[in-house]
Amino acid sequence: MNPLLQVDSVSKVFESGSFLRKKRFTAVNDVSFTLSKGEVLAIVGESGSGKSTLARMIVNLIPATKGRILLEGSEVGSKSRSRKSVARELQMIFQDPFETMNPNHRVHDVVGRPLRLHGATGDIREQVLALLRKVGLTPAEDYIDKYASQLSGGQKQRVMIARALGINPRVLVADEPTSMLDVSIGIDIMNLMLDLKQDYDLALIWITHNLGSARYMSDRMLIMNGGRIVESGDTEAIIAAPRHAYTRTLLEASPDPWRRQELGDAARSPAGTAEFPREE
Amino acid sequence: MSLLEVTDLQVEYASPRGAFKAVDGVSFSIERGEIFGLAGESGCGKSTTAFGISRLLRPPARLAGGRVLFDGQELTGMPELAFQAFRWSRMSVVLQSAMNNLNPVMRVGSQLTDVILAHEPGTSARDAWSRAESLLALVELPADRLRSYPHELSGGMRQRVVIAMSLALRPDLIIMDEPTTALDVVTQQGIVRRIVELKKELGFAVLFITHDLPLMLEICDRIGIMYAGKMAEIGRADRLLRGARHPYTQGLLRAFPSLTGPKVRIAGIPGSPPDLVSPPAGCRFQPRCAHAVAACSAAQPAMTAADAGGSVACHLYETEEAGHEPVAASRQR
Amino acid sequence: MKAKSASAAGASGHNAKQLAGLAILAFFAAAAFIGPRLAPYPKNDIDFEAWLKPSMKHLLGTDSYGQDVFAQLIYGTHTSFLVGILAGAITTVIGVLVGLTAGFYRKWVSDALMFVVDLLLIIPVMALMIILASFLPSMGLTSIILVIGLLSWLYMARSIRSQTLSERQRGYVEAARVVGMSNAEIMIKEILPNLFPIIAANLVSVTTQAVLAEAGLSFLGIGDPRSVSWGTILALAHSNNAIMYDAWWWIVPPGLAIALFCFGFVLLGNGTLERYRAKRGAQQHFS
Repeated sequence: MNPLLQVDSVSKVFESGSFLRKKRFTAVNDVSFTLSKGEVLAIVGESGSGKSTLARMIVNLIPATKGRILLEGSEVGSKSRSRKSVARELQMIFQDPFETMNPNHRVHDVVGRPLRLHGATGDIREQVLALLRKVGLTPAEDYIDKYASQLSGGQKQRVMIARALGINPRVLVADEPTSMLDVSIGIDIMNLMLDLKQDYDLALIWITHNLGSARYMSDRMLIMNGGRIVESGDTEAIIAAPRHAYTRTLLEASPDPWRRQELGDAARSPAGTAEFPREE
Repeated sequence: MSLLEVTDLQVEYASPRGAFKAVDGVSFSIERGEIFGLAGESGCGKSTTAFGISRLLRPPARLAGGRVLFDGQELTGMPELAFQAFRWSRMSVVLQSAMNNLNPVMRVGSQLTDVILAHEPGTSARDAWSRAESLLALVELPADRLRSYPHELSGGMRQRVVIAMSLALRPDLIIMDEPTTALDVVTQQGIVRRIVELKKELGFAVLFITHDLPLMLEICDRIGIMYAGKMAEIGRADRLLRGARHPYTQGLLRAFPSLTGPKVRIAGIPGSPPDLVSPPAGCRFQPRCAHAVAACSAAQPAMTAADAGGSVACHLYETEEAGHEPVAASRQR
Repeated sequence: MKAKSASAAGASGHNAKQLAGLAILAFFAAAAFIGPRLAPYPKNDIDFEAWLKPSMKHLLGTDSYGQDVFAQLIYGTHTSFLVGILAGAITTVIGVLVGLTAGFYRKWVSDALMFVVDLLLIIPVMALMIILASFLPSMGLTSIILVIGLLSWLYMARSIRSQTLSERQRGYVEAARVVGMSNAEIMIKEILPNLFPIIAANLVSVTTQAVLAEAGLSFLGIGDPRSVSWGTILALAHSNNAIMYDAWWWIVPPGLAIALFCFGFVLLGNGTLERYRAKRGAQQHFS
């Protein structure tokens, strides 16, 4: 079976400075992977690993410097494809719902405008209400006329999910959508996304710095460091037996008292490991 | 005698919709050389508690009641000047934002020696400098970093400098409010490990505040869990890990996906934290609690002692009557 | 800690400042459009004795030409109101258009537009207005409005641009791109509403400045000699030594009218901003 999404040796180089003293920074370096229908793929890395840059290239927010991103064989970044046509297939949920929900719009506008943009007809309000119910904002009538400042972080993130869902994409890229939220709220968002993935037959890319959430969400994962994929494979297999030194460092550093208990660590305090060198 | 004893601390916030208690009757104590964790979700009052103890509250927040005893000395009535001297020398504070609040136009070394010279005016510049060098060594930074400006350092290094600064006067207690939250896990681990080692070497106590409960369970001796301005449960870290008592603690512990155990669906905590301007009657967690009984909405539960030196504020543990099965163990996987 | 959602106190209805400002402006609008029909005497009627003190017959006395000051003030309101509103509108439209475009499309579009703005900003606007006004063949009300409108948008464009530059960095712009909105839609539907506070603040100042500029031009004798405005009344009073004759009724009323009109705009602007903030912006931070 052909993969739904294929990322083929993609790189991103940022340039800064003047003509004469140009500084180049390789944020993503020759990354390749595929994503199948209905699959959840986690991309795990720390800040500066290039995971967010990669996400932005996938949804065509920024162009790749090298390489191709193909959705069912058709190139996402090509000039012939409009922003709108890419949006139909690929949607993204961002990290900070406090920033991404326009403070000047009501929930109705935030969710309804993209619907209309992508050709929805008929009673938009009714469709928005249905989407709000789908993401657990019930009774939807209480939420539809609210502004961002009247919603909590978790509620805002649900609105943003409803917005993406309304477009009915095939791939959803979630860039740390729970990292700004409290854990008890974050776990609800994760569960919601797993349910929606099932209901809408979505392929999900889950970007995170947290191995625990990657394990909870994904079947397969990529570990990124310094713009490169250092390890990839079945999520459980990697956590059980990491092969790359960086993955081991990351796993060691992740606070998880239950795991330490199971491993029977003599000391509860974290084991001493050297800081892994990173490109800064 | 405990190093720090907080009794019935109250912090009031003025808001356009009326005043409310962000911290409402919180009591706990910290022993010498202990790492005490204060955990909870945003708005629970954990940082506000720390600010109340260290007198860093700014309007619209104000201390509305309670007593803070430090080494037997009453802090609550202490004159401001005396308190300022006290705050660096015996009790220091490390905030999450501190690493971004270093003076950008001063070298790290000058900022460290300034702290020493301000509190110990007799010290010679040379002595202060060599002490600054040894402070950097404590946080595993090379001495030549004293000549760096803050922008030349990474976030993790800057936070290490801030910790070195907090150690400058050999305090008995360091209050750390989300000291590593802005950092990557690998960097965080290095710093946290060093804090634990230093605590053993130097014998200070730490009030460690974070929302990251797994981290806290790994490094703290005892932990207090706060919910909606009140203390829900205090217990030894290993005891909490084996089985928390308060239903909120259980829910919170469950909400962190682990790297171990079978992969099962985790249920969140239904509902959302209460509006503190008009909190629910009785237990503040009761509207979200799966184990709530009639008593829960009638009266606020008092903190009652439990085994292993812990205590919990929950009606389910108040009566010895039959009929209340102890709430199921916290982590069924 | 994270932001808590603010209460929506005052989210509906108007506040006192807004209402007061609206009332003042409504009063002037009524005076401008209905007033001339109710005025006691025709425009520029010089049938009366000069320098009469206020009386029942002449509420604000008469001037040195024997014109009824109250009647002149009413006709003047019409001119000044139109200049304020229309020149303010032209300024705002150009200012927002240039500022938003220059802020959104960085690089050469921005550079080119801002080059023009900077160039024009060097020229003293009032002097340019005077020169233009004296070279234009006829200086009717329309020319006055155009001259003021076309020369006052520069500062507004600058401030709108810098606000746009910061808005376009915000998450909601990226989120709008992801759902497939075009640049024009993002500028108009997403960014523009967020510029409202800065537009409102500018609108207040450009409108009041337009009224003052018209008064200034008229005062210098450059306006339309046949038309009456608050500025021409003041100019006449000045050139006819009203102060020496203690004819306060000739000077104070147009001065007060200008001040009150501007004050009405300021009130409306500030009141609207307060309401706006109560509704969508202000988030309280506490831990």
